[in-house]
Amino acid sequence: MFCFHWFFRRKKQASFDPWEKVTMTNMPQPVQDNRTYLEGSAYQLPKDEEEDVRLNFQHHALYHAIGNHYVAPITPPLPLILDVGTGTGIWANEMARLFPASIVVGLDLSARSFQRPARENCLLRTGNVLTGLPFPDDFFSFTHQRLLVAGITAANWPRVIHELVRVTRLNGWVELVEVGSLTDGAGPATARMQEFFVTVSQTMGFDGEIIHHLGDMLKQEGLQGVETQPIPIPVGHWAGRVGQMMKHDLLGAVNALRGRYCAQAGIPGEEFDQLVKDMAQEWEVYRPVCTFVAAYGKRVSA
Amino acid sequence: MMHTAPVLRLNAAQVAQLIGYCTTYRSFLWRSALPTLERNQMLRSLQALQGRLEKAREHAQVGIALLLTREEQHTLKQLLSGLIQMYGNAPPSEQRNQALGELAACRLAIQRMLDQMQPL
Repeated sequence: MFCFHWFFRRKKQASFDPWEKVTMTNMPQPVQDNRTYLEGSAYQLPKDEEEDVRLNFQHHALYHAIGNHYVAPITPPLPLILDVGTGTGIWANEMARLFPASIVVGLDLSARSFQRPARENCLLRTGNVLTGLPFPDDFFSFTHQRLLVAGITAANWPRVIHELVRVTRLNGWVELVEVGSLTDGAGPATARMQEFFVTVSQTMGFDGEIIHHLGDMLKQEGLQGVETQPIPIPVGHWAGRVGQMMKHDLLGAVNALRGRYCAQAGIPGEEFDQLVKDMAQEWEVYRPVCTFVAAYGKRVSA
Repeated sequence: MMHTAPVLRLNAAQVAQLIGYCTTYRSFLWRSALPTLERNQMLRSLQALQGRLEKAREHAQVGIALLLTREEQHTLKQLLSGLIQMYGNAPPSEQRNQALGELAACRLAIQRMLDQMQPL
């Protein structure tokens, strides 16, 4: 029944350009791809081997683009380090290598993507920051969370940040890293895709703009020395190896959101794919940057 | 054999000033330089130096004495000369002149400290 409705609606709107104005008067459709998703979760990206490969690639791309695995000015001793939304656990494992005297805990909603840690001081566990981190107050020296803007709805951000701060010990650091707009000054296809993502994600309760307020939220939770650091990263082959890596990763991320976003907006996948192709081409012409935002602060009072 | 190493003796205001310089210059590098091995190495060195300053600040209310490695001395000098270049290339303004004046004073004070080799 549901499928018939979708079929007739698409037929009747043959001349309608769905990209012109995506409105959520369209009924969300079942996801039309063969990717695996986390059931019962707001997390919009797939949870499968293909996505695991992308996440690991993204980890390396960000290392070369940012220059390190973290932005806060942390220094040993750091007895316990936490990574929330660890995915495959690659960040936690790498931090365990960099800080061999630390115990690094990677936490994720599901163990499906966990790769066996190469370091004995790296522990990967399941848990949900939205229902409360399974750790006591004042526990970690460094609490890190990266790229969960597609997994945490706007209403939940304050609760998440409260939890991150709660488990961080005195003189410990909290760091958040998120991606801002897809790419600034990238051309019409990218602008269109950006608008599509914003509109669809808002209907699902997400708000990309929230990343510009992460520093304020850390301050509201009592952190001091809070810095909000925009990190522009060039995207495209024109920018050398890092630009190529970021382009590959961003296109991978966009494609990973294809199933759920097209279903939510009632957009045919073929049109989405064409727009992705157009974006990839214009990135070599417009030479855009994708701005990541790192916000970090120090807990100086209990 | 007696080894020597320079000790940086800083009051709380100077520590805060250097931490601010590290933040400003890291931000400048991210903003203005394409990602290269050299830029990233500089970013990591600055981050490590800032981390040491932050950690030292936790344990001292009045001032700190920081024993610097050769690499940290080099980073400190690069930080200050990089910032002088950055402000020097900025359009003339009262704020720019004030920043340059403060940088010059800080650079002089640090150079004097680095020149005074302290016995370990």
